[in-house]
Order: sequence, then structure tokens, then C-alpha cells
Amino acid sequence: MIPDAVPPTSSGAPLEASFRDPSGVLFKSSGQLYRQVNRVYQEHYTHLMDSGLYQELMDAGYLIPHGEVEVPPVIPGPAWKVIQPEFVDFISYPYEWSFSQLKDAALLTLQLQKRALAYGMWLKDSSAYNIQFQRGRPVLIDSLSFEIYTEGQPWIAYRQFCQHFLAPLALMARRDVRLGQLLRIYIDGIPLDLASRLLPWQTRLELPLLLHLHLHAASQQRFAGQAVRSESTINKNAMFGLADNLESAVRRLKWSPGGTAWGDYYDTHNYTPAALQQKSQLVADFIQHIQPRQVWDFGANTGLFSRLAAAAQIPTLSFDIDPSAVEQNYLQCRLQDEQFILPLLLDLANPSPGLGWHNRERSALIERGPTDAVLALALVHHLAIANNVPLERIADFLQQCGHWLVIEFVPKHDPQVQRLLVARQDIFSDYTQQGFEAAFSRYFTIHRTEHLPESERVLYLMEKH
Amino acid sequence: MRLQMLTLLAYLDPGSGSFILQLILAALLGGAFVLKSYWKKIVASIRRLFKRGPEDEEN
Repeated sequence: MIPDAVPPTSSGAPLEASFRDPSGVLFKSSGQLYRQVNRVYQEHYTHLMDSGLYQELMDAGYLIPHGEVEVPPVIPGPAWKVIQPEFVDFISYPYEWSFSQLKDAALLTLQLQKRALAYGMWLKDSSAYNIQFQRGRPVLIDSLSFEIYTEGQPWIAYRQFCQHFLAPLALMARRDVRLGQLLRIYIDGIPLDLASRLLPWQTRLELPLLLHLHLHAASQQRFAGQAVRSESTINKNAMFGLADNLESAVRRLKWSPGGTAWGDYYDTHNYTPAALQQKSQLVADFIQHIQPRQVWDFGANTGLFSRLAAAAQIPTLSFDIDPSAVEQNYLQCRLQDEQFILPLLLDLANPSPGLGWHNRERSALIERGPTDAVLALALVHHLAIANNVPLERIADFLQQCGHWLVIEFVPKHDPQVQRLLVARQDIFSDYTQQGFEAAFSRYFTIHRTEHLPESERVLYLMEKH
Repeated sequence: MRLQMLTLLAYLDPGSGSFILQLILAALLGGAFVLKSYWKKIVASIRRLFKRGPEDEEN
């Protein structure tokens, strides 16, 4: 998968999220992604490549592979070299991950730190945004994160690790899993004083959380803005010990999915076995007909229908609003070593926006598309009735997300829709099959209309005009 | 000694409190790590000892 050298092309543009680290810059040129390595990083890059660390990380699958290429740098002044990293199928963000995805990313970061220390290097940053899920596994995508180790110095990325990983994981495990969403507000991780205030008092009795969160927050407050003057230093054993202690802190944090509205959805919903079988067959047929390069499955629950696409080796994003469903989906991926499915947390009524500097560091969901095919199964009633989104606006949104659409219409007398209407007035006079088809026909051509047996539900295959 | 960034690459603000806490924890975590390493070695050698026993008997 290492790209071959490509001939020199005209310089491209730096990526919006790539400006903080002076070691180098990511840029796009002629549709390809490259990373410029600056002279200031030369010694460290050489050590990474020549010490055996790069090869060890390749063998372990911990770091994205890259090749050195003859492409003009995007900022020639400080440039030394240009490398081309392997392409990551889809960039996802920590606030879109389930508990175990964030935990696995944290454990990978600590493994990287330990392996680097063994080769005389360490991580100079520990941002959760440097980790991506590629073929089902977390991987470090920033090849310039390693720095030659300086004996005696504290770890510069310690605070960042606690803010990006330990604080959200502790809040999710010990207070409420939904607090992971604080990562969407605090782009450089959850402030430790806030985490300390939000965590239950009993977490002060857990030594790693006491040290790395509560005392850490207190220490930050006590020494804020002061220069550090100390006769003491921190040796390499202590540095290994720090990584080791953080690792045991992360490992001890556990969260079990369950007890939500969706956990047992497939068992209790209103399909007969024949209808479910027919629906699966139709979705598989539609996917086979479309032959998409990528699928986005909205409202995927634990990924039953996502797996129809993934089984055909199509990279599939399996989005759901429920942290339990996404967690179960991810645990299944991990257990089965599934490489073509990526479960992600997403509230379609409020999808991930553009965040960070200039609103451009972290892309909005829609900017990370469009995809080839969207699945929207047993979803439209949640958007139209639970969220009052007019059908035409749903159609408009979905046509921006992908070219093909496999969508299920759930009629008003369906028990699932009746459940949504039980405590409220039915103000949805347009919510009929005719109204649905009229709204979607404005944006899509309807190729197939299939009534599911023993059900009033209808499955459509549509293509954007 | 005044601890400071030794290279131009240190683009993160490590935070004074985070640095000082690490220096305070250094002895504790370093000691714990060394003890853990020794303990692992002891456990490994005991395991080897017991493993070798039955193999020797077989031989």
C-alpha cells in the first residue's frame, strides 16, 4: 500500500488542520495527500527510520505506513523531505467514537510511548486526533509525532494525554457515557479542573485517577503561569512507570453498554422473520446493483445491515445516535476482526459540525462526503416525526450525503411510529407514502419500490438526479 | 535547574502544574515500575522452573 514515487507536480495547499507542529505540514497536491518534513525534524525522522522503531511499529500495525516521494514541498523554505502516508478511508473524531474506541486509541498511544522509549524516542504530542481507525484497528496517522528522548525531562504530552483520553474515559465510565461529548466542545481535550469537578467523589479513592486527574488539576491550579524551577529530574524508569501507570488507569476504566432503548431493538421490533429476511435480501441486492466504493449507514443500530455491505468488502460507516449500539457494534467488529466496518456515534439531528480554528480544523460530517451510497433504514420516522424535520429537507440532506439511497418508509400506523406519537399531537398530515415519494422525487429518481412482506413498510432504491 | 523546552519541536504548552506533578510522581512511578519489572522476571523464572520440571521428567 506504500505509494510509488510520483513525478513532481505543482505545489498544493496545506490542510486546514495542519499548522501547529513546526516539524512539518500535511498538504494536498493533484488530489493526493502528502506530508512535508521540515529540516528541524530531520534528526528525529532519521532516528525513527534507522533505529528500527519504524519497522517495529509497521510490524505491529501501530503507525500508518508512508513512502518517501519526489514531490515539491508546499512550503519550500523550511522543507527537507516529502513523504506520502497511506490514505485513510475516513477521518473520524474522538467525539464520534464509542467508549471502547476511545479506550483502544488511548491504549495505542501509551503503547507507542513505551515502544518509542525503548528505541530512545518518545511522543511529543498525544492528541486523540492523531489516532484514526483503519481497517478496524486504531493507528497513529502522524508520522512526525516521535522525538528523540531527552533524559531527565518530564513528558511534554502528559497533560494532553490526560485531557484527550483519561479525563473523557473516566467521565464516561464513572459518571455518564454521554459526557464523552464534551470533547466536541473542548477541542484540546476536557480541562482537568472540569473533569475533577464532574467526577464522583469516590474516584479520589482510585489511586491513578487521584494522581492523574484530581491532583493533576490541583497542581495545574497551584502552579499556573509559574516557571518550573527544580533540582529534580525524571529518569527513564520513571517515564516507563508513568506510561505504565496511565495504562493501568485506562485499563481499569470499563463501561458496559445496555439498558437503552436500542440495545435489543432487533429482537423486539415489528418484523416477522420473513419480513426481516426479505429486507436483508433486498438491501443486499441493492448494494450488489450499486457496487459502491463506500457506504454510509445512518441509524445503523448495532450494524446488522451495515454488515451486508461490509461482507462485500465495501468500507462501511455504521452511524448511530445511541452510545450503547455503537459500543456493541465496535465490540463485535473487534471480536470478529472486521476490517470493512467503522461504527461511529452521530446524532443526525445535530451532525458533527466544522470545529476548531476558522471552523476548519475538524470537518463537518457532510464535508467528509459525499459517499457513493447511503442506507437509511427504519430511520425516516425518527427524523420526520420525533424531530419534526419536513420530508423534503430529509431528502435534501440525504442527496448531499450520497449519490445512491436505499431508504425505508415506515407508515404512520406502524407501531414504531405510533410509539413516537403516543404522547403528542399528530401534526404530520404530509407523512404518507405519497407525500414521501413526492418529497424524495424532487431530488432522487426512484428505481425500485418494494413492499416488505407481512409489513406495511416499503423499501426504495433511489439515485440522485 | 530551570526546565525548559530543549528543542524547537516542543510546540505544546506542557503546563507548569503538569511538569511539577510528574517530578513529584517520578520516584513513586519509577520505583513501582522497577519493582513490577523485577516481579515479572521473578514470576517468569519460577514459571520456567516449573515448566522445565515436567519436561525433564519426560526426558
